[in-house]
Formats: sequence, C-alpha cells, structure tokens
Amino acid sequence: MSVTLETLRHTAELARLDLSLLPLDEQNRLAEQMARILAFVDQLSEVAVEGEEPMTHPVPLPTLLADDVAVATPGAAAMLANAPARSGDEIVVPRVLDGGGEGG
Amino acid sequence: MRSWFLGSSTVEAKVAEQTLFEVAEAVRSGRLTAEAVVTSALAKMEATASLGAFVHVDRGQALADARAIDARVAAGESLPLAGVPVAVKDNLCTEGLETSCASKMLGGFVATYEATAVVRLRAAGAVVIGKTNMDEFAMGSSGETSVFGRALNPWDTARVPGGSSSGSAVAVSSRAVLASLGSDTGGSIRQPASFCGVVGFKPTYGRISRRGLVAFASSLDQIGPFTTDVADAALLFSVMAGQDGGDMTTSDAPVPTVEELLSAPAPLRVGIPKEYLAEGLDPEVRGRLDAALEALRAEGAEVVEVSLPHSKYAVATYYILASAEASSNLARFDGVRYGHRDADATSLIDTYRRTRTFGFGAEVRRRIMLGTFVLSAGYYDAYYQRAQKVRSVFVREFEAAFSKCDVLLTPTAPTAAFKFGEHAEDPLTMYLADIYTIPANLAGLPAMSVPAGLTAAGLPVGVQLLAAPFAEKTLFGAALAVERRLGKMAAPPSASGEKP
Repeated sequence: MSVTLETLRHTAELARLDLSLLPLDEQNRLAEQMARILAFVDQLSEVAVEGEEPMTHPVPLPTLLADDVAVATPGAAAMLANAPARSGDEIVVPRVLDGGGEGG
Repeated sequence: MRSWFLGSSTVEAKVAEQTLFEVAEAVRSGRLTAEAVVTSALAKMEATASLGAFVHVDRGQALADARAIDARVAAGESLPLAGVPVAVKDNLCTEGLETSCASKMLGGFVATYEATAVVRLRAAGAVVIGKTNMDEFAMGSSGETSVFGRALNPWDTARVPGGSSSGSAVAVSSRAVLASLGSDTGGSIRQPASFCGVVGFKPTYGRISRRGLVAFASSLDQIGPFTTDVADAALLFSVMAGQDGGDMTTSDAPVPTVEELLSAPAPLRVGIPKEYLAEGLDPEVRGRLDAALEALRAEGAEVVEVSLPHSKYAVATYYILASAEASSNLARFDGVRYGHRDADATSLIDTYRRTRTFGFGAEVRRRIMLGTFVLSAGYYDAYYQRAQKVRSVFVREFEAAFSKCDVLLTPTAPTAAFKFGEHAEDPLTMYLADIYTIPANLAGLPAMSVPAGLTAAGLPVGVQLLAAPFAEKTLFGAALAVERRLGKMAAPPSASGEKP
C-alpha cells in the first residue's frame, strides 16, 4: 500500500513524534521505506487464518503468585537522580496548561 | 588507574584457562584469584578496544567486585562461577553502571536496580566487567545502529559482527571474556554468534527472567549467553534460569542442572525443514549445514525431513508483532522522568515530541512508526491481529514437526558476516538476514547457534539447533554432539597473537 504524507503525520502524532523536525529527504525516505515494508508484510493476507486464535504469548504460562512479603524498593532519591530536571523531590517539566498541554 | 594495567602482562600469562569451568575451578581452588582473572580480562579488553565491543566500563568497581568474590571464596563459599568475568549487553540493567541501550535516549541513565539474570550471575561468583555495544534498543542485525558507532567482527574488521548483540559476540569472539549476555528478540544472540564464531543460546521463552531487560518486544524477548563452547552455555543457563517474582512470564518448569545438560545424549531423530533449504541459501553455509548433519548422523541420529509450510511468512509476522510491541514499550521514553530531554521544548507535549524525534535513531523511529501504524484504528485487524493469528499457525506447525523429530537443524543465517553498509539503504534486506532465527522467537522455542566451521574466505558459520519448548536438555545433547564431531571453534587469528 502507499503511505500518504497525511497517514504518516497522523501515525507520527499517535507515536508522539514530530517528523516535520526532520530534514525533508529523511521524511520522504521514511514514507518510502514504510510503504515498502507494508507492501512486504501484506503477504500475510494470503494466509488462511479463519478460526485461528490471536496469540499473545508463545508458551502457556501459569499465573504466578507473588509471595506476600514486603520487598525493599529503590528509594525516591535513587529514582530522582535520573530526572532530567528537578526541584527538590519533584521533577520539573515545561508548562502543561495555557496551551502547553495541547493534544496531550 | 595505572596499576592494573602495568601488572597485567604477568597476570595475563598465568590466566590461560580456556573455559568457565576451568576459570571457576582455578579460583575456587586458590590457584588464581578473582582479582587476577579480572585484571587479565581488563587488559585483554584494553588490547582489543579498537573492536568497539565495550561501551561502559568501571575498572575500579570490577576489581572491587573481584576482591569481594575472593573474600567469599576465602570464607568457604563454593561458587559455580567464582571469579568469572562477564560482559553484559547495554540493555540489561546494572546497578551503578550506565544502561543506555546504545541510544541517545538513555544517555547517562543508571538503573536503580539490577536485572535478575545479572543478580544471579553475581550470586554465583561472576564479575561484571563492562556493558557491551549493540544496535540501538536491540533493533538491528549488524550493530550499525548503535549511537556509539559500530563494533567490528574480529574475523574480518571490514565486516559486521551481526546484531543486535554485537558487542557481546565480539567480546567473547576476541576472548576479552569467555562469557557475555545478550538478548534475543528475532535472532539477536544467534545471528551474531554465527558471524563471530561463538556459541549463542536463546532459551525457551519464560526460562530466564526478563526483569531488568529494557523491553523491546515483550512476547519475543529472551536473555541468553554467548560462550566459546556449549558446556559453558549450559553452566550460565543453569545459573540464570528459573522462576522469578519480578517477571510474571517466567515458568515454574524445573530447570535442568548443568550435569543433566552435559550428560544429555545425542538426539535420535534430527529434522531438516525442507523449506529452509530453498534458493537463497549460500552454498558455503549449506556446506557447513551438511557437515553438522553428518556429525549428528555419525552420533547415531536418524535424519527426517519435516515441513514448516508457513516459514516464508515468519519475517512479515515478526516485523508486525515486534514493531507493535516496541511502539508500546518505547512509549515510556518521553523525556520526563529519566534519560534524554530535548532542551528546546516549550511545552510538555512539545517535550515528548522533540525528545522522542531527536532521542531515537532512524531505525528505532521507523519501527515505532510501523508498530503504531499496525495498531492504529482501521489497521489493527488487518495487520496486528492477523499476524497474531499467523503466529498460532507457526506454533502448531512446530508442534507437528517435533512429533516427528527431537531437534531441528537449520542454518543460523543465510550467509556468513556481510560487509558494513551492505544493507544500510534497504531495511528489508537487513530484516531478511533473520529469516532462520525469527521462528524460534515466534514459537518461544529454545534455539542455539553452534559454530560449524569456516568459509573458504575464513569466516565462521554457525548452524542452528531448535527443540520443543522447555526441552533444553534435548537441545544441549544435540549441540554437544555437533561440537564433539566438528570440534570447538578456535579464536580468530586477531585474538590469538596478532594485534587486532
């Protein structure tokens, strides 16, 4: 199938990517490559799948019950150490309201 | 900083052990210290640095960890991996040592906990000496998508080591270490093992906990070892496998002991899937496959032809399912809590978009796009759900095949290692390099690539053995038989004297 620029932009929006930030030749290459990959995977339409169950995991796995005991977890300080920006024990992000949360 | 290096040449001369069993025994018996073994490994790592296998190393910590092992040995602990240096793929979380998935997105990230597989190796006496190079987020078959640049194949540095576990394969092939960990979603352990002339093993899905493995495709990912021989793979597997409360998909099936694995008999019936021998298979790869088949025959196996009629759909099924799962798993990288954040974003939504667009490389972006597309409204049934149904067909076909034979023998990859840039412009031809390895992930089977000799040009070629789910014992019986007859693969010329 062909991948229109509109389809590409819609998919990118769902994936929280902004392709317009990339050079035009890279955008075009992505569209062309996706079209070829989708044409390739289209061969699955030849397979008779009527009556088949969609499989999410390859081998049957028993329900695993966790022991009812307290387990030590890394503290907040360890986790906050990886934050790109912080103020005390809080992670700082750019504004969400006043247009900052559009689409989010 | 200097002392470990200056002292290394004398220590290196003493550490001539060829297998993990020998290293661990030497440390347990007091003939070698873990510190001497790790010092030697660090020196070898330094000497082979131009191969680009390692991306994060903390020498001081590795030596401190080694001394701690020496103390445990002195206290009387009997450790199966006493003092064994291991290299760990950069997508496995290690406490105190960066875990970046070879991506700008996770640059500088230090995990707050350690992967269960690594925890178990350390408990058994192993020492982590570094994190290894890889395709970004394990997406690739050549190692070329790493943000750190490529790792080189020690057999021919103009050629790829394979991927995505490129550095882990190179680290063992170059003998910087005798053991490393990789992850295998569609062949990322077995294909580089074949290209680099080492053993690469993907256990049954659910055998080794994925806790602490940065998820790519959760229903396909499995951790496994690279080693220089089959017995060492058995040793690492027996230490790492088994149920773990940190991964709800781990199995409670009993894990075979290393003794059970090593005493497993050669298989009685070896199946050759006729679809795998179709056109496109390199004649030299076919030649090594025939040699492995003869080896199994000589060990008493009967050869039976089996059919996996849907094999040609494996790559398409895989790229839909793996990309779909990746698009979901990689949604967590948004620049808020950890990792890269784009500095020019002015709003939260802009932070997500800019961080993700610039933080991921082209291959990762492409797979996220493909995965998002096949999961999106209007395409979900036609692509994603259809692929899930085809997966059921694969599983049934393998069940039928394993009713006729104990193990399957196939090529690991269609060719020996290819040259850098050979598939760079066309992702589809790169994807097809995984055609023989992908089915084991789709069906959750244990599979191993075992070295089977060299091409006329001197490049290693592996063959792949597959068994039914949880039949690792049968698999090791077959792998040991192939290795017994064909001999262990020697180190590449660059690792056995010459400067790399």
